[in-house]
Amino acid sequence: MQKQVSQEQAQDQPRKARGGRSIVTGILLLPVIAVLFPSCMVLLAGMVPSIVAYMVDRTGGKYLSITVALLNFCGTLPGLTRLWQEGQAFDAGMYIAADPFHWLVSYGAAAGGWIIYLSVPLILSMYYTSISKNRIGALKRKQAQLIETWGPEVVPGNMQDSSEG
Amino acid sequence: MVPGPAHGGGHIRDFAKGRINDLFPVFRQDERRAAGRWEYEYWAEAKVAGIEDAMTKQSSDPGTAPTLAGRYLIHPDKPLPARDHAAAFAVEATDKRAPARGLIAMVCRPGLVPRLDIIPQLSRLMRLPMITPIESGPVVWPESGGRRFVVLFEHSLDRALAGNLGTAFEALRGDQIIYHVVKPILPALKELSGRSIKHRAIRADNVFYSDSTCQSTVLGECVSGPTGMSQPKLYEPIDLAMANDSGRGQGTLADDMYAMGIMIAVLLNGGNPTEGMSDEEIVADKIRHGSYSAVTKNLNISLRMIEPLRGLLCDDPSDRWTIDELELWASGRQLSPKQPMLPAKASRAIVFGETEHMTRPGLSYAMGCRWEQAAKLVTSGELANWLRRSFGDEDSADAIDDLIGSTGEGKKAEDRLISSALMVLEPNHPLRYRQISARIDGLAATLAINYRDEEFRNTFIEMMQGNLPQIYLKSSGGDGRSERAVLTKTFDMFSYFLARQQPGNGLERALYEGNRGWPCQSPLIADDYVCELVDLLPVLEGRARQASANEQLIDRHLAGFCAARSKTLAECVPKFLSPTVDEVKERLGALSVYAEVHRISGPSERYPALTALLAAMVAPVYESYRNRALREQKRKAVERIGGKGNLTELSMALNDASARRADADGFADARKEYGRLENNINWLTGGGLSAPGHVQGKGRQAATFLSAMISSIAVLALSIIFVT
Repeated sequence: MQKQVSQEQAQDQPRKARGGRSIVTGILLLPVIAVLFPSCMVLLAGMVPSIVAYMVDRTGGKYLSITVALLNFCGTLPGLTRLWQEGQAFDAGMYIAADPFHWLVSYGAAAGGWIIYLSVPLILSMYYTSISKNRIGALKRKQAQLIETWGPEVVPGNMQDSSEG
Repeated sequence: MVPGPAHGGGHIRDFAKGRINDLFPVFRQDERRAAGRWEYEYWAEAKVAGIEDAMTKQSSDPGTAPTLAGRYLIHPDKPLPARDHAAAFAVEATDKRAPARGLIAMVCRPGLVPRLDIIPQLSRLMRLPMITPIESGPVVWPESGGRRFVVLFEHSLDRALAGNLGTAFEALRGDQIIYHVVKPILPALKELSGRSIKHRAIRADNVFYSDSTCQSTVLGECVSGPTGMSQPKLYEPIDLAMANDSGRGQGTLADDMYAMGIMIAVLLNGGNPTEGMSDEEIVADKIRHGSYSAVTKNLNISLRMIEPLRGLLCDDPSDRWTIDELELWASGRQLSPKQPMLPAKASRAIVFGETEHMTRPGLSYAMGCRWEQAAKLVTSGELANWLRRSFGDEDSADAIDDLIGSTGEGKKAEDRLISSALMVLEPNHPLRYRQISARIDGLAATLAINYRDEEFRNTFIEMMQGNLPQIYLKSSGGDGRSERAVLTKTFDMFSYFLARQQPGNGLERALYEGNRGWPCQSPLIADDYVCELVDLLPVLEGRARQASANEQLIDRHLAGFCAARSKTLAECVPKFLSPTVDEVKERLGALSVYAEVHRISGPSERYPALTALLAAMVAPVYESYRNRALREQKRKAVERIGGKGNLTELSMALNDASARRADADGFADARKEYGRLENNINWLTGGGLSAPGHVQGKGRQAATFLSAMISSIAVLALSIIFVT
């Protein structure tokens, strides 16, 4: 019983440590968010698909999140550049964040990320099937050459006499 | 077309000879070692041509009769039974160059060989008062189809002093014996003695009148059978009379002198002086009374003749008259007569076989004759007690007690005990072991002569396993230490061979090592009288012409024969023919042996039929190469060499150890490679690359990579637009 408790305690420790680090990071980022609030607002509005992708991504390397986020960020970047051209004003930020075109671009880019993520494995599967056939053919030709040179006894389990000697 | 009998034997011979010259171009007539070889070729070729029957049917025809040295015709249909003896039979022969010359051919009986060691020496002694061989060698014998050894003599002398031992004849007076028998043959005996040749066939029916007036005599021949084998037991000293006829060994000059004494007694008596007695009784009588008394008890002998009979029939060889003493007596000198030395008598008799024995030799002989009953006498301690109490011989009694104590259980142990006890009882008697009784130097010969008897072979092996000959040599005293050392070495060698049973060793090897002139007894060539290595391949060449590739290539006899006839082969035959279940190795081993024989016996000779047969037989050898290209290469090489008749080259082509090793290594690597390829195919076939898990993993990575690339380009483009 004591062991079980100690194991649970041991598992809780990294979790607590991670939580602690997040709070510290959040506290450190607060001044940045305060200074760059309009940019954060535009960014937050545009990167929602990435946040959703991160939440639904169960892969080990978070490939889906990265794929979507990279393109989603590219889609959000024109809105950000427009905001920065207008001096990072709160109104401009509100305007851009509510701009349907900004939404279309950033969400469209995120959709592109989704499409890439879903289509590449299909294309790769077809490619692998094709090269597997080619490789099998080449290997079988090599085997045939071996049989031609050494006879059918070269096939393991097909020994006609004492080839071991 | 094969000429038939109607064309005459001369045509057949010419035909066969012509074919031989075609088939054996490398054999020049002057190179043929002896006529025997030519004869063999003639025979082999005659068989090929299918004219063997014609030879058999027309054996009396001068054209088809067996021929010796290409000159002497042997006539199997003209026997001379009066001249037959135990080891050979006689037939007439003629000289083609001098048809009027009377000749007699002594034909060795199957399984026996002549005295090859002395034939060449005696052939040169034409002026001796002795019948000496003119020519000798194996000839094709029509009745058997095989070869028989024939020794040729002059047949001008037809009248022997006596018929065989059982025949009565007119007795000779003492002076007739001196002047017509002893004096004429003394030069022959002296010459033989000077050359250390023992005649071993001196007997009344083997001494011939050399003139029509019966004034002079000559000694008969002594070479047409194993040494002393044709002598009746009467003519043999006690120890040799106890031995088997085949186990009398080389004998000594003293044995010849003893036979001379017996012959004088037979001539004085006009027949067998022991008429009506069995061989066993004669020997027992000689032991009991001494040879002189046993042989002369029924004779009226003049004082002049008592002297040589006492001297020559002395049972102690060291006291027996020599040739010089006989010569002195014959020239008229008076010599002091030898007193017979009878064996010491016991203070009380011992009963064995319902007979009372008073002497050690008498009991020893009786025990050897009744082997089965002898065990009880020894194991009960009765023999040891008799020696202790009746002779006061504590040493011998203790030795027998020790033997009893150290002997194990079983029949073999019992036989060894009896044999060892007999050695203690009478060390000068022959070595006896069950049915074997032989003078120690005659053991090898008795093995050879009785080799076809399986029971004898087993007994001989048992005797050797008990090291009895070595024990005998240690226990027997007297002179001849160097001879004993040589014999001990020989028997140690026998034991070594018998302890190793692979081909090239075993009893067969012992047979040929112990009997240098003995022909190979292999069933493959038994009829061909092959006694030298140089004769082996020509004979096998003849066999190869009729053999099929499925026949056995070599057997234990051939292996033993080859190993015994060459030091090189002695080492390599057991190695080449080491026991294996692998047919390939077995055939390769046989080929290696014959290739070595070819190298030793004359590499310039060619044996096309044998090589072709061996090439066909060793097909499994090159078929065993795994690499198809190498196999084909070897096959072509073997086919090419097979037609050339060179066994050494054939062996070298197949005994390529490095190629065989490379082939085996390459095959092992190829098998591994094949297995690896098979695994790869299975992996790919089982979806190794296109499996959903694999594709998904790689796809995600690729998608991320693609996304990163597009993003980078987009950021770069926006940066450029923003800056400009």
